[in-house]
Amino acid sequence: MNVLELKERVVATPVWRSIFRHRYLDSNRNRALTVFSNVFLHIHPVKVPEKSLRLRHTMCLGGLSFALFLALTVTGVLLMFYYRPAIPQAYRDMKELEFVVTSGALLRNLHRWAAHAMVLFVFLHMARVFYSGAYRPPREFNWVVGVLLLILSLLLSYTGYLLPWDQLAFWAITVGTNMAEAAPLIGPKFKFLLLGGNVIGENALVRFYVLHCVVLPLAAAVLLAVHFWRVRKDGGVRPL
Amino acid sequence: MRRISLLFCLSSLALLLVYAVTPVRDYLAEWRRYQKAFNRFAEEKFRQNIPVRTTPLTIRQVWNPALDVVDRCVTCHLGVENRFLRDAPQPFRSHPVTPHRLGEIGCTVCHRGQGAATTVRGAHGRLKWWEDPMLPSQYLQASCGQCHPGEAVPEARILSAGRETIRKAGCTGCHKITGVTPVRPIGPDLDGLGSKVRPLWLFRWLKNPKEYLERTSMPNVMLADEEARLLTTFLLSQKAPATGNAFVADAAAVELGQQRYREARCISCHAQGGRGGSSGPDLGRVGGKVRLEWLESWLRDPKALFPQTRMPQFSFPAKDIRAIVSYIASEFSDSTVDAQQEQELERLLPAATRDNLAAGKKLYQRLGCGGCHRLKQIEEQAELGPDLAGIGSKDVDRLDFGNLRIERNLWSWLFTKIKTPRVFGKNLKMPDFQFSDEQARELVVALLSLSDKKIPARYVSAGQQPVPLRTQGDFGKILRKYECLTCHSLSGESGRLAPDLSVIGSQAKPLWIAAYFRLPYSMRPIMTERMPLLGMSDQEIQTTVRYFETVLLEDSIAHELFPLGGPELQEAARGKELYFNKYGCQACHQVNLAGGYVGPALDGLGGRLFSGYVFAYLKNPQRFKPAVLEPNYAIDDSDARALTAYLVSLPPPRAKEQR
Repeated sequence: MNVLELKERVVATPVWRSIFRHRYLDSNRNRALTVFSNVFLHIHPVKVPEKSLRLRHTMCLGGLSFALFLALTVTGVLLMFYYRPAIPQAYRDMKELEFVVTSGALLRNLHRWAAHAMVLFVFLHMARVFYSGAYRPPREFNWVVGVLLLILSLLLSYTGYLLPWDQLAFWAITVGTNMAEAAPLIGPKFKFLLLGGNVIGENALVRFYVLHCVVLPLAAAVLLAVHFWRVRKDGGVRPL
Repeated sequence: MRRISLLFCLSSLALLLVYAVTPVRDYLAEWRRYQKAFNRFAEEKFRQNIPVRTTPLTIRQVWNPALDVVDRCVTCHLGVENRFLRDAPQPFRSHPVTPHRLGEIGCTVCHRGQGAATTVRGAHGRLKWWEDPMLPSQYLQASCGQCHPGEAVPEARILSAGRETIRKAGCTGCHKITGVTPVRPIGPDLDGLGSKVRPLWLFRWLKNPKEYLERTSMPNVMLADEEARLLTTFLLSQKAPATGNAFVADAAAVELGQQRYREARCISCHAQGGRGGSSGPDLGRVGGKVRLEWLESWLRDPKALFPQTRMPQFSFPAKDIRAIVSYIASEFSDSTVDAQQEQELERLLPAATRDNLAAGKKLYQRLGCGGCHRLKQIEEQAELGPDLAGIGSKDVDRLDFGNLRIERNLWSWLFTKIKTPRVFGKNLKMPDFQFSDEQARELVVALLSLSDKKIPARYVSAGQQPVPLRTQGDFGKILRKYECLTCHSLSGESGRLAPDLSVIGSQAKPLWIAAYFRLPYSMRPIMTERMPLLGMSDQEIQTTVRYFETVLLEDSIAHELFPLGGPELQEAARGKELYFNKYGCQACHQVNLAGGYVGPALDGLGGRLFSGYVFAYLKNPQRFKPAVLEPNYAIDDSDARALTAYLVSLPPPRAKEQR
């Protein structure tokens, strides 16, 4: 009984009421209010038909991609504590993670495998959308946002490639930037811009690091918000 | 719904298990196992009263930013600096004695491998993607060379031997090698070769030089017969401008020639069929090699034909020269060649037409003969082989192994390349030096020492670079004319056959030196080796002796120990007592034909050496002759003085045997 009394008193405090604006009573109105008054939940529809939760509608591929994005963000931030985008420290720090940092190898492997998986799931997600015809009006705008997100995923993967600063990284970026150079008219200038010079050196490493850790994740986050918002606005799964 | 909950629950558990693996693996890390084993080991040793401390379980490392070293080898190799663990099992054994501070320079600077790693495989560098595995112990001395560049390192015998071979084999003729100043030309000039040698000898020499002279530095350039014949024609066309008249051997003079040949001690430098000195070429089969008229002019003035020769100029009269040449022609013929073979070759040799000569010249250049030889008509050629800077840290991926199935690492590639230079592919030009396995390993060590590793200046040994000797003027001319430094050394330079001359002016008396130049004899009872009779003029002897007594001195020792009248008889008598009874010098030295055979005879010592030097020598024999056998008895001043008194008062030998 005391517990219930205590709960009543806590819930009645101004602090509690300033955070939670409504009671937790299972009514339609309260359910709607829960969603409306929460910045994270309000991207979600208030009501979802049970039919549209069937796994084979979406295979949950978009959700998995987003979950991997979150995992990458968390492990990525932790890796940033140990990594310096400089020569030769970048490679050394990789070795420190492997041999000395507690669970460093786990951290790095999680980031790496999650990155590979995210690219895979984003592709599968796109394929699913394509084959189920989910790009058709009114969802054509969200298809375009999705394509942009696919490109961002690939760019994130590509910029992360250089950071270990080993032979594989160096030559992969050599090949990649040479491909960029082959683009008509702007190619050479674009390569110069990307590398911050004519060769892959410390400038390129810093640029790729900033793109990988700041610019591209922020852009992806913004586009993800738009993407989810549109999913909600365009409505759930309707039978064809 | 329940099914999904169960699935969720199970997958969460599985995930938790996966995450649990990491801390467990961390806890069971290899290095922890080794440290626990070490602690058990240390406790056991401690019970035996051997001071070995246990270690807290932690990663240990040597960090030296200047050398770019983070070495965690000491995490497992916990006993490296504990001298009580010399016989401990690995990885706890102590490092062999070294002058270097291990705690400062770390391990990978010398041993290579992956210092940052904390696993056995990772640290020893035997991983697929680690380019710098540990050096095998037989090549370890290569690392000494990183901080001791371009010098002989007495503690690193293999490295020093390899560097010596690089210098002597003339590698710098074709390769640029950091720290080795190019010695060029290492071989003789080839201008006038056509007037010097016989065609058959030249052809066989080009095919395989070692067949004629085992220890020649000329490699086998691996020519086909036609190529060798073309090159023979080309080289024979290089005639000397003034060829002497045909020489006819004089059978009557052979005996005189033999006598002169012996008197001049030619055998000190030139062996006959492998027996004798090694400063000059073996003359055992020279009759089949050179034309006699050339030999005649060579003996008259070697430097006129080949300015770089180390052969002294003997001042033989013309008659003696003819006698010596006759003797050589009759004694040193080559039994493996005959006139028929010579005619056969003459028939096959391509004619000296313009086309053939041009083709021969082209072949000469393609083979890179100019790396070792000079020929006036061909301008100096650039290095043929690759620059060897940084070869010691070359990536294995950049080496061409051809179709060979050998271990894929730098040292086995280098070893194979040195032993069989053209095995990795076609169109390779490096000739076959026919190095022994041991020489090849020494060379690999010397090459591996040419690494890219950046060593800060304060770690690089300046070494004892000998100050190049510059003897100018009349004495310099004499020194070069008689090639004194072929046998003697001066300020640490050159020959090791005869005594060092750096402080000769403080050692030997001028009058004795002058007499010795006129008639050299052997100092030791058991040795017939002696200085050759060079036939120096009185003027030259005077100049040389004057130079010795004014320049080649050691200021810390006075010439004479005793006042003008010589030592007192009493003191000399005490010295005799010491000589025979206390120090037992007669075990090695002879006085009046009685005594041992190891050291020189001491009769007439006072006429030969300054007493001040004898005293200083007795005090510390190794001071002037580091390699001398005489033991250092730590003789005190009064004993040394008495011994010196006795020695300098010994009379000269009664009758000098004529040799």
